[in-house]
Amino acid sequence: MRCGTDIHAWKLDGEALVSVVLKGSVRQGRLILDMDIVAEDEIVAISGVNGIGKTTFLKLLAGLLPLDTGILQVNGIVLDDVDNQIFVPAHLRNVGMVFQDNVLLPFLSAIDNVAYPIMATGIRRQQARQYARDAMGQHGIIHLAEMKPIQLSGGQQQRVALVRALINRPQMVLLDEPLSALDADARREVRAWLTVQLRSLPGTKFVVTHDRVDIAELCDREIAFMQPQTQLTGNETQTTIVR
Amino acid sequence: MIARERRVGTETPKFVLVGASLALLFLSLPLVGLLKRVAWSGVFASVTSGPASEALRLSLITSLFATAIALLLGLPLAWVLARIDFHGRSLVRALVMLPMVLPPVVGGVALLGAYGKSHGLIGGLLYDVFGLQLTFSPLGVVIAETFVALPFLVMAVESGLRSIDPRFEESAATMGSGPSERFWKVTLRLLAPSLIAGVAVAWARALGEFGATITFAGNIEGRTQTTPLAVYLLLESDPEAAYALSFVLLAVCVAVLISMRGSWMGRRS
Repeated sequence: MRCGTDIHAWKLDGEALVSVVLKGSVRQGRLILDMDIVAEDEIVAISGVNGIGKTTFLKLLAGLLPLDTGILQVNGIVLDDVDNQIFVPAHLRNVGMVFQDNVLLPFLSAIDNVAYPIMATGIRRQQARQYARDAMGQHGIIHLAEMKPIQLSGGQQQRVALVRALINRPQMVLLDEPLSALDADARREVRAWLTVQLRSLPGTKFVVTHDRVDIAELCDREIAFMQPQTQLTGNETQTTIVR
Repeated sequence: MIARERRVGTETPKFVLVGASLALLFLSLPLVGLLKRVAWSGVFASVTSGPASEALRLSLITSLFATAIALLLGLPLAWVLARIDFHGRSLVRALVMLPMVLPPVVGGVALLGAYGKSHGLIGGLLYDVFGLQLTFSPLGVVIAETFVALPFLVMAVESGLRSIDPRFEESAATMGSGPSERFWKVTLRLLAPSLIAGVAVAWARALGEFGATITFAGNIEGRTQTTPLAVYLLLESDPEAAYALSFVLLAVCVAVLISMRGSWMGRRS
């Protein structure tokens, strides 16, 4: 759950294992997604062909889409339970999400974008901007602070979006092809930086990606989304059936 | 003036250029005629005295009220049309757009049918219970103007809402913003250009309203005689004032067009 004005949520506290349990299904148009996933304090790659429901899966976890059947539990707390009519909407889950191409709010400067989630917890603008400034300094992007998104390159935008997503120390990180819109150089650079950031954060991190290098360098294991016939991939035995 | 055609296959035939020139001439000639007839030295005096100034004052007040009501009612309606899936949505949209194509006089007659004191659907009730008479009152002018202006606002705002990438609001939700915070801090901000365009065009429409106003609210000097009505009547008695008032309306409309640049028109040039 979101921690409200609790500033501790913002500090490093080296929590124990956080786990995600998702057993259920959702239907979106012609797509039916059947899931039975358990994840721990790790970085999980989500792969699979386009249109198979990877983004839908992230939206379920984020609280942007409710399950049709089943249950979602994060860190011991039920976020979605169809039978008991429980649904915690996105703004009450402490998740950090980054979409494929940048969705920084275009009318805010980089620093105000980073300050946005802090202000959403009830912290005043002045102080939120100070926190945002500190975080941007730590991540080496303080020089971008006063720029508008349109003035930033793709790689810079993505970095700001990632810092913004991680600023409240979310208990779950959801990245939807965070590097695919970048050119090769920026991609290598942001990937290395992102690996460090994600490693330093407790909780489960899901990264949707097609890139084998991303999977190898960034992630602990892979869950492959596939058509009906049951398939196993990666070095652990998680099965996701998509039909 | 016209750039050399670079693409074979889609080059412009001669007769199209002739037609386009005629159309442009047809549209601009009356404007030139109007500007030529305006007695420039007397414009200010004409519009700041007598019935002309009364009419301008009334028009300004009623059209601003009408625009405010259109905004207050139109934004929620546009939201429902743009974002809620329900049976009969296209029917509702057609109903909303009807006043745009309806002859304004018919709109006025319809308003009488609803709010007329003696024969209206709820006009009698309003009068008996609240002592409210809409016909032949400034309030009636506001009602008539709102009726014709509202669809323009709804149309602009609905298309604006549809063009917003839903991911901005989705990511605001994942950043901890609840529905109402998202509305004020994200949706409304992204919607601003369409909202401004919608308000501008609705205001221009309200300001120019003639048919529904004269039918529903009448033509009482100082009470329901708006600028367009005054222009029509002054043309007989005081043409100089009529042209001066027309020029004022024209100037306002040009200003509205300029304020809409980049949101409705000229986005792709």
